[in-house]
Amino acid sequence: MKNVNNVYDIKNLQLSRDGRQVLTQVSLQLAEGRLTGLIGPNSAGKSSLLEAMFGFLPADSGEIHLLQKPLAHWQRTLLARTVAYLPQQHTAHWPVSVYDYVALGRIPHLRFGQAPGPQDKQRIDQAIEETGIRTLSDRAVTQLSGGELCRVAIARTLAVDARIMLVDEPIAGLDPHHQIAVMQLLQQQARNGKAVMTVMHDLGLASRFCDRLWLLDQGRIVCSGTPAEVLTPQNLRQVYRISCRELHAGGTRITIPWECSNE
Amino acid sequence: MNDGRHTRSGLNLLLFGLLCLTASVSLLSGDLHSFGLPSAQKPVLRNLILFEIRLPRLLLAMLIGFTLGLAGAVLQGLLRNPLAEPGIIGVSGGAALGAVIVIYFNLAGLGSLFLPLGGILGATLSMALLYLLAGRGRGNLYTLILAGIAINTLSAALTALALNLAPSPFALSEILFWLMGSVANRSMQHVWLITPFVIIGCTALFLCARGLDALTLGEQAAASLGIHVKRLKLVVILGAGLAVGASVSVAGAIGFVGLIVPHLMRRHVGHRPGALLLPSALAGATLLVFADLLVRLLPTGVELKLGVMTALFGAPFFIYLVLTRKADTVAGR
Repeated sequence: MKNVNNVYDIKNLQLSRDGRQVLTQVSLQLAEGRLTGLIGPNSAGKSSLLEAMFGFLPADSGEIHLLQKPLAHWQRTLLARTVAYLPQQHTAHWPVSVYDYVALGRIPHLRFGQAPGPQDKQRIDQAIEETGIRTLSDRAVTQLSGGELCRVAIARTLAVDARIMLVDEPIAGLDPHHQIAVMQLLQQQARNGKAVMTVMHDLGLASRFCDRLWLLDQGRIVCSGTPAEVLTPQNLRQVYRISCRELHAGGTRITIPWECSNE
Repeated sequence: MNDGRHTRSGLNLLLFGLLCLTASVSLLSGDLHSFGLPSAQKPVLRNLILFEIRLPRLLLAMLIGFTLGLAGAVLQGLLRNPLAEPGIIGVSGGAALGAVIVIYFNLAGLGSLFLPLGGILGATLSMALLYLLAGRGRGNLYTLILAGIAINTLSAALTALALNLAPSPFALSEILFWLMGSVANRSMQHVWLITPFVIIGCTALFLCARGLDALTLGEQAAASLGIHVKRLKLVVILGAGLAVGASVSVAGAIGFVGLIVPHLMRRHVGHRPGALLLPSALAGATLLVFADLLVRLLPTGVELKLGVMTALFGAPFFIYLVLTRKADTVAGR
């Protein structure tokens, strides 16, 4: 078996939000070089887990270690350079150009008052190239379509040049072309050696693109492993209350949600 | 950010040149000689007019315009709202009330600095109140705006009370004229009084540039880039409170500069909130010096108040903004 490096080590994580417990006894490891999908029904605690992994939400108990160091001991800027985080909403409050928007990803690398240097510009250009948004780079971000904005937001995350990417529902609301393009992009980042984790709802795309899946339900990890291990009829019935069909294509088993189960 | 950097430093240079030009014109415009005095006294008189009357007025217009332009740009960036202005956090209202109370109790006669000191005290108290109302919670921006409105309303009510109970028609007119905003008849003492507050406040505001850029992405994404969002808000409030509070203390409330100037400059810096700060400050200073020059030179019989002038220009511009404002925020997926 290939030797993998775990970048995140989460043990017995317990978390509440506005007095309500959202995560219970979550223990997981996130590995480098893999695209990991975090799936589960609405309000299962997926976004909360992602936010906890960045330290936005303090844990009630349990531990999160990032690269063998407790998350709480990480210095803010160093954390921002190591973990790139893309929230669910790709907000743009001002009509800045796509280039300037992507360039914001370099903020963790700039010292106080320091202007972006050649290395930063190279990284920005690379992110623009990798996401195929070169033709958009002079447009205002407020004029982009949902699919374009999503790619620009991912480019902004890539510009951080972090070892780890945490992405919250990047493909919700996108057409199939953009959904596949975004998943391919994330997969490519994982192939390049990054640890990429994405929250998602589309089980078909999850089974097609993800190397590992974490299935979360009511704040607990029900199952984690390869898509084949996680997306079993029993798990899907129990967690989503659905039955599924399977399709074998290109050596991959694709799960297609089929109908609601009556139980 | 790539080739824009050169255009932006060019813009700043241009604005600085424009400010110097307007300032020189303002200093030299108007009569310096024809007072029918013996020629031996003319240089003395000229120096008196230049350095005791016009210079303090010019410097105050520059400092206050700089502050208002900068604070407007920073608050619009923080609140991510192009209709925000320096008065929104309630500090101007508090400063105005402090000065009005000094006039009401006739303390201004005790020394020329009592009035601005009262204003600074009012600004400080309103900042303390703002902190009590909005500082403790989770730093929610709506709470901040609501607290600002509450403080402004309270200050306005107490100011109205002072007008209502004014001891004499003279005090009434003095308060009213003071509220209209002006930099006329101020001395270098006023300049020295507010300079430290303006320097500290404006420095704090300039330190926020990168954080404001990051806030373009929303608070959570900004935090993920290593920005301490709570601390950023605190620095903005303290900085704007100090600089704007001090400005209002000596000149009364001068509206619309902090609202309009960032708008005029925004497209020239590619809409980046951080890059907007220096151009806004310089353009604010230029605009206020120019407005004060107009006030001095327009043959209106009674001299117009500076705040009246900026409002006369500003209000129609504000209406235009409201009418033409497009949705310039997207929150897509």
